[in-house]
Amino acid sequence: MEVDEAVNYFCSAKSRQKFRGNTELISALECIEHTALNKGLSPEHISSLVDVAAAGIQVETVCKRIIKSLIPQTYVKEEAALKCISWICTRNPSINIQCLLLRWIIVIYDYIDTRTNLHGMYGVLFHFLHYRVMMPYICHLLYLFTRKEDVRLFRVRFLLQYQKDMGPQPFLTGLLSIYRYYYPSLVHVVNTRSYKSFFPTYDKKWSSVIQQVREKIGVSPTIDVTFEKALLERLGTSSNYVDLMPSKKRRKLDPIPVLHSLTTKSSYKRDTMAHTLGLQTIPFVLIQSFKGLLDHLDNVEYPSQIGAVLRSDPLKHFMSFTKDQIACARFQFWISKTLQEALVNSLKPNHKQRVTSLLKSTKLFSDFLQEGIPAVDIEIFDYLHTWNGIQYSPLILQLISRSRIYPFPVLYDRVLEPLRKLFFSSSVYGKCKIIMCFTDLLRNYAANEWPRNQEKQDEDTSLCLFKQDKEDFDGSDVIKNIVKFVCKICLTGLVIEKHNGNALFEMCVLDFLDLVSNMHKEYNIPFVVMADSRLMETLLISCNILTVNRVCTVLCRYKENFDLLRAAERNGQLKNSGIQRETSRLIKLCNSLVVDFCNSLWRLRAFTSTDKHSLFYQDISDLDKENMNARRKDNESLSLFCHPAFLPFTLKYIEKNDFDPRINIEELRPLKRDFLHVLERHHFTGLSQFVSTFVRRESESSTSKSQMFGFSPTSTHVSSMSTSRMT
Amino acid sequence: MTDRTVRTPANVTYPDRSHGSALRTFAMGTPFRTPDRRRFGPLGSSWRTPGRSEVLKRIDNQRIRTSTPRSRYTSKTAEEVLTEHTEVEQHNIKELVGKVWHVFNLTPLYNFKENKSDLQHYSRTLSSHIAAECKRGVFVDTSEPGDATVALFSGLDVAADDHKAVLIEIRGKARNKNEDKVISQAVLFSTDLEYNPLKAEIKEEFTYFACMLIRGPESVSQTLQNWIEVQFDCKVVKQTFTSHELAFMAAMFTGFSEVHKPLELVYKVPKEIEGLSHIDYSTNASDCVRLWNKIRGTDSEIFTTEEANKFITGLESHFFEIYSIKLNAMQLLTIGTSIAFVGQDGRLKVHAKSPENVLKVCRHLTDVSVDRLTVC
Repeated sequence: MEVDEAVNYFCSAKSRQKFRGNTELISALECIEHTALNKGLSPEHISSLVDVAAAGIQVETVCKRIIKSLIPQTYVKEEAALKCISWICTRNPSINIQCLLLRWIIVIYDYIDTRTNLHGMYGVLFHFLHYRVMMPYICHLLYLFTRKEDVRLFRVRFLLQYQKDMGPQPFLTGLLSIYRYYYPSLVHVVNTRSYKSFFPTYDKKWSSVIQQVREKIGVSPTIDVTFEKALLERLGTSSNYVDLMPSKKRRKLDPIPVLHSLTTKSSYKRDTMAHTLGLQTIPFVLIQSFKGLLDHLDNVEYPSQIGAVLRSDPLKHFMSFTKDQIACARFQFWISKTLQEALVNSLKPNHKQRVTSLLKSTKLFSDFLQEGIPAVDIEIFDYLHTWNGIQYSPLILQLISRSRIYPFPVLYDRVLEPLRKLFFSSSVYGKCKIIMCFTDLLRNYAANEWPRNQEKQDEDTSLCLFKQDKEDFDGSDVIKNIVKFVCKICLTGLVIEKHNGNALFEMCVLDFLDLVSNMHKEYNIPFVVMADSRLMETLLISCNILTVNRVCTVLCRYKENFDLLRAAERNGQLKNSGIQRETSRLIKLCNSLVVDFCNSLWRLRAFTSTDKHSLFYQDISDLDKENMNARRKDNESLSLFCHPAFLPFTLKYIEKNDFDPRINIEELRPLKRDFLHVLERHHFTGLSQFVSTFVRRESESSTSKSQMFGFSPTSTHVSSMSTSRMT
Repeated sequence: MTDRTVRTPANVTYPDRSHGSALRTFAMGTPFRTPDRRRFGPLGSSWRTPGRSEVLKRIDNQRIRTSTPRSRYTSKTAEEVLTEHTEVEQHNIKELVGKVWHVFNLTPLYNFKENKSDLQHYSRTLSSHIAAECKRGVFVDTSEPGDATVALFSGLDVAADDHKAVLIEIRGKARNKNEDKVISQAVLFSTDLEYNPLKAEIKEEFTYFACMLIRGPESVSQTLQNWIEVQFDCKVVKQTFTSHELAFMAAMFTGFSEVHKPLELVYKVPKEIEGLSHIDYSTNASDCVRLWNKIRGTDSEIFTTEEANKFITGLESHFFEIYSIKLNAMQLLTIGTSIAFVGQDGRLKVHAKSPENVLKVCRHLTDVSVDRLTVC
């Protein structure tokens, strides 16, 4: 028999029919059951069969069996559920059938296509709570689709009253817990149970049968993930922390609060009024993802404890979008006290985990906003004065590098001075970490804080979330002073650490110099800061070839930046004449460095008696005039071939080309460029870059080898340095 | 015995801020306080009337700190009339006396409304919260708490910036007894704030209570703190006093010239010394007052660290002469004066006989709390 025929048979039956022995009826019933278990029933069939079952025309067992076999193939039409409810209203079917219908709705709740009209039935369903037999099922159903506007004061009162009379029942507590999720101020019940214990699944078998059938067909489990479903998931998973008030132990264990709805009394009144106007406010509890935030952007309200922003990414987006100063103030008060407590009072070892996670979440928030939070800055700077340099050190250093820009004296007192003390009292690895912290700090200032400092006050489009009363100070001053300071301590550090672990430290210093040299080009800072020349010269005479290589690249980069700066000045982009004079002075400095480098590496004349400021200055009167040979040897000692960094490669080169091991440097001179190629093949390209930038190839016409070097910015202020010497 | 101007007690871990350090002179954090100077109103001066607070509202370091403003002296005669408190206030102030309180710091409370219906709402919420905690079995050994009430508490707000104090009372039944009595109380107040630390644009939403005193069983106190934190989005931090601050308070409270209890200083002996754990040093109160008067010649408003140091080093050098024990190398644990008993872990018991002195204690606590608040 076909399903359609069977359904038609039942639909057309107008009067009660005998069950026993009625083969037609039984076969129709069995057909329906069989189809349902194999393929599920189509929506139309389900709708009509609901009518049949609830109408009460047939015998009760028949109705029961029909309802049990209402397994949806694809989805269930909303009108089927509505019909169920309306049949229950008529009180026509027996109470068992009514309960069964309710259970059926709960079981197929996920498969109903739309629920808009169903929400309208809320009041009707609530009315049925009076009937005690149906109460658990009604509570479960209401739990599934309560929305914020369904929470009304009279309903809450009714439930509380009932609970007081009859004692706490799990299903009532469950429904109240949903109410409390929306309005904590209305409902004051505590619950320590989770969703599963509220509504024990009494129809597990039924729902599993349905799932099996659907899997057999190959349909996806649910139609769509709606708001309520998100709520259920959230309530279901967070088992212990649904409760509003944390216990004392939990407060100590995890100082970051959990998201909760607002606890103010007025929110209920406001929402009832708003609802009549058609508005809707969503408590942040229900926003699970960024998409959810976007959907309800106009309606979301902040949670009761703003510290929860450290836990929730959508809330971070929301806070930075709305730029609400009240929320920012709340957050800053909270974070300053929490950090004070955590950093200053953390004496016991098991606090470490907590404090680390707190610092980590703060850092994540700061990185998300790409700005320093003033309250956090204050607390960290205070902590620095008593910090031992080891505890939480990566996080503290990262938070420092995220800090805001302050006038240099303040910055020096609060940050640079304590870090300097730690620098000189720690091992080489500690020194490297601190130099990296300074590099990050400078990068942060150049990239983020410089624009913030430059923008005018009271502008509407401000770049930061946490507004600070701005003082008028010059950011360029800070940047220059920081560079000077760091260069100084790097130099001292290099001298101290001459023997142990030098290479790593030099790499960190060179990272810093890379950043400094490139600031104009990368971050559009309208000036160039020149690093300390002594530092560069010290790096030149190091024993590590990587260092020498990189320091040459740094010089090349400086040239690039100076060129760009000069071009910008010529184009009229930078109007500051002070900068121009400063730039000229710096270019002179840079030039002298270039001359030194060239002299020592390329021209084999390391020591000069003319430039008093250079590292390689040798007073003529001190020299032994007789011993020209020794002098020449000295001059050659830093050359490309004899430099301690390049020596291994020189030896290899000699070996490879089968030269006499005792070969004279003079004979190797013509092979300089070839040697450079060898180095290039080993990926030490800095030197070749330097040579190609600064050393001009000898002209073919002249017989004497004349070499010209130095670079001249094409302006009238600085004279070009070009000398030609007889070699 | 050297005359040390800086106290460095042995085991202090908290950075000692009260040395007028550079930390405070920059306009980050609470901008304008240098905490080595405290307001001090001895001998019948300076309860400000509402009219005069205009002078002090101007955040002007120099005028407040180094010289007494003229206006204080001119209306000195009018002071006595205006410093009478009403009976209710007197009663309220007396409530603070004689009980052991724990002191807490608060950040500003968000969304605290003070009209009657809101206060009732808070009471109900707190009661149900306590009931919930009861059910969870938090209060096992102590008495079962019942209802809570949140109410305004007048008498402690003096300056124009102060908010009316709030009293939270939790009643309950002791085990095996039937009568209902108050088992825990909490007072939130800020007395005589010199300036409101909140910025103008956020002032409406926040209420600032500098200080909170709680008495009662520890579990009830924890429950109350939890509730306040969640309800008003603030943070409650236990207030601890360093040795330096305790010494300062000892000196200052002596100056209030009540002599019904001796001055008692309890020092903690370092662990390396065996057999001795505390040193209890009591001095007759009237002798202390005499020492005090010698140190403070003038009748000025301000009371500085140097004067406090002189006082304490006077007492300590006297002890040294007798016993050859250097007290300033040890940590000061508690002080007990005729005005109040203060412990390092934040315990406080007020003994003062006159309401003025109680208010002065409150004002000092407010000052200490405001210093610890960072405002950006």
